[in-house]
Amino acid sequence: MILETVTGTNGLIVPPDGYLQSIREVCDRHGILLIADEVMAGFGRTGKWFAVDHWDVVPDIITLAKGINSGYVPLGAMVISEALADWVRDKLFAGGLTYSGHPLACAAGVASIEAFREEEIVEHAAAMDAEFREGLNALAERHPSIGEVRGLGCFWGLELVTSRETREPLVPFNGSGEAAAPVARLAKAALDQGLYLMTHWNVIMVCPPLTITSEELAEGLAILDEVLSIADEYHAG
Amino acid sequence: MATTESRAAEGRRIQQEAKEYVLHSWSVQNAINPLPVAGAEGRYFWDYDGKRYLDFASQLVNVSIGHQHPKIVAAIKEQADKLCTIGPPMATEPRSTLARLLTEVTPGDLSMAFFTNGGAEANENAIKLARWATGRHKIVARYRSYHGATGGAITLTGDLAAGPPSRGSPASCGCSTRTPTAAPPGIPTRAPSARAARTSRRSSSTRARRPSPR
Repeated sequence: MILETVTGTNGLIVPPDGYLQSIREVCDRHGILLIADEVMAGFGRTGKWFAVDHWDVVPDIITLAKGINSGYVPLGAMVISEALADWVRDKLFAGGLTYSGHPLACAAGVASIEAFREEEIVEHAAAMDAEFREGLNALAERHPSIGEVRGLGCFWGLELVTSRETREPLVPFNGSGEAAAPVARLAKAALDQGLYLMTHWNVIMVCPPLTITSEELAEGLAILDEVLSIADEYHAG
Repeated sequence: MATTESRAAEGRRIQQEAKEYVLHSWSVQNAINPLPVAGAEGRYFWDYDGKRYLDFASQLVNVSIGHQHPKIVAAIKEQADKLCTIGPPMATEPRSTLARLLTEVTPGDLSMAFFTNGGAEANENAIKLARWATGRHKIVARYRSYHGATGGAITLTGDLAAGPPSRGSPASCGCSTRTPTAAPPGIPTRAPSARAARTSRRSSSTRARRPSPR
């Protein structure tokens, strides 16, 4: 079983309490290995070192990249449980890459983890949670196109809808081209005003660096406030 | 100001060559104008006209520590002076140290690291190890998910990315709470082109049954 602990690009979906624990229990009952994909959610993004830490779940394998060294040099990793490590130690692991554990990428990773510890970056991301929550929910009060605000730490998504009653997405799942135009317009308007956004269908990802300050967050939210009027144009009430 | 003009011209050249020679990911090539980025620091990056952008996306949600963090930049420079590259069978200081650090920061008994070039390959290897260790084949994944665009990882998602252009290896089974969706318009369907269909009636070879590349 593989899952993103907190679903990223496909909608920024935070699982309810108990969900991951129940997945873990079912996996254990049937001898299924649980792979937590924390490529996006890992390394402080959700305000804990790893998103599974919010629910005290330990996967059998965790997969990592992105925040491992912020992509200064490409790097990914899987970290495996003691049981799997013990199992694999006397067998031929038939897998590899010429650049597996590239020195430049790993040096960047070591420096990044040290900086995270010295500068208490995970703690800062956790402390920013309330500011994101408050700021984004304030936007939702002013903009009827916001159907839901979801997130944790510095990992947030605004779901845009044409109706709060039906929750009809502003852009359909897997929508592209003309169907995606409303959100593309919004992102372009934000860029023109100096705010770079990642959008996916009807979700605006709000995922700045974990080191963001309160002032910078306020600056971004002010621009978001302006450009969300574009999404409101499509709102049917 | 002459300097500003020449910077702007450099930016335009970089953008032009990007459009001409680079196949950009997740894009209709003719519909994009890649922003030429001259530099970045902290939460901001800027273009060749000197316009600054607040990075509310950490690029692709990866620049978690911010741009150009001095400690990481220094570590890369220091390592480059010492040893730029060495093969995976060797033991090397940054690899050993990072593997140990990963077992420290990850939860529970996670205790051994395999390194890849990115997240998709990490998932590919996780699936490989899980299948090997359990002797079972099926992988349960969720429809609303994304685990990378490589041959195995792409079969785990209901994302548009799993559409015909990147159809993955047929060995996976994505069992999920799948909500049925029609193929988006404009995406080539499974049906071979008329010409390929005619060819396939004449020949039973695998190659002839494939849709025409046009």
